[in-house]
Amino acid sequence: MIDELDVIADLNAEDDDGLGWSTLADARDATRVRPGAMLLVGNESAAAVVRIVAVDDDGQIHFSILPGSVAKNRHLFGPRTTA
Amino acid sequence: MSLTRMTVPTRSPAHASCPVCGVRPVKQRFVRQSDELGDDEEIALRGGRLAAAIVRADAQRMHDVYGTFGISVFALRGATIDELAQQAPLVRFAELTVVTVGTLRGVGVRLEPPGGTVVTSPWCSTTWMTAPMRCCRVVIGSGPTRIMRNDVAGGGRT
Repeated sequence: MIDELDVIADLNAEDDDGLGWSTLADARDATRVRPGAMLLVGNESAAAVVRIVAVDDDGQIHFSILPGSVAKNRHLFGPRTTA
Repeated sequence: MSLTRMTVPTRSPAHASCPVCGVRPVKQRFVRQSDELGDDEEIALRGGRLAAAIVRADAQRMHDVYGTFGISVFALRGATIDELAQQAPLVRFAELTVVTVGTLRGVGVRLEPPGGTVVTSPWCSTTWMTAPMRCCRVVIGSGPTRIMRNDVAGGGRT
C-alpha cells in the first residue's frame, strides 16, 4: 500500500477548517495534486482516498477524506505505477 | 468565543526566506482561548502507534507549514472512543493510541485547541514544546499510554 500512495500524510492531522492536510513536498508526483483530484493519501499507519480541496502557494495541500474503504474507492483514482 | 492568531517565525531552507533577516514566514493557526482540557478526566486519541519515524515525519511536516513541531490528536470530549473510532479519519486506522492529557502535559507538551473549526470539535492539536523525537520517546515510556485495536468496521481500512 505504501508504494501506491500519491501523497504521504498523517490522516490525524487536520487544518483549521477540519480538512486533512499535507505538503507538495510529500507528493510522489506534484503535478497530479490539484483541486478536485482523487488521490490515495496516507502513511504506514493508514491510508484513504481523498479529494483535493486546495493547494496553497506555500505547498500546503488540503483534502477531504472520502467515506468508505480504499478498495471501495479504488476506481476513483485509477491505475498507477508503483515506484 | 474569541480567537487568537499565533505567529511562530522560524528558519527553513525548504521555503523562501527574507533576504535580509533570513526568517521564513509561516502560517498562523487559530487557537481557542479559555478552552482547557482537564488533566485527569480527559484523554487524547491518535490513530496509529507513536512510532518514532512516523511521529518525526508528521511533526516535521507541521513545522514546515506552521513553524512549530507538533502532531494532531483527538480529545475525547462528549464522545466515547468507539464513536470517534467509527468516524473519519480514525476509522482508517487499525490501531489507536490512547493517552491521558496529564501524561502529555507531564512531558512538556502543550495542547492547543484549534479555533477555526466548530466549537464542539472533538479534536485538538498537540504541539511539542521541545524536539519531537525526545518527546516521542518520553511519551511512550512514561505511560499510561495504551494501544487498542480499532475493531470498528466502519469505512473499512483496506
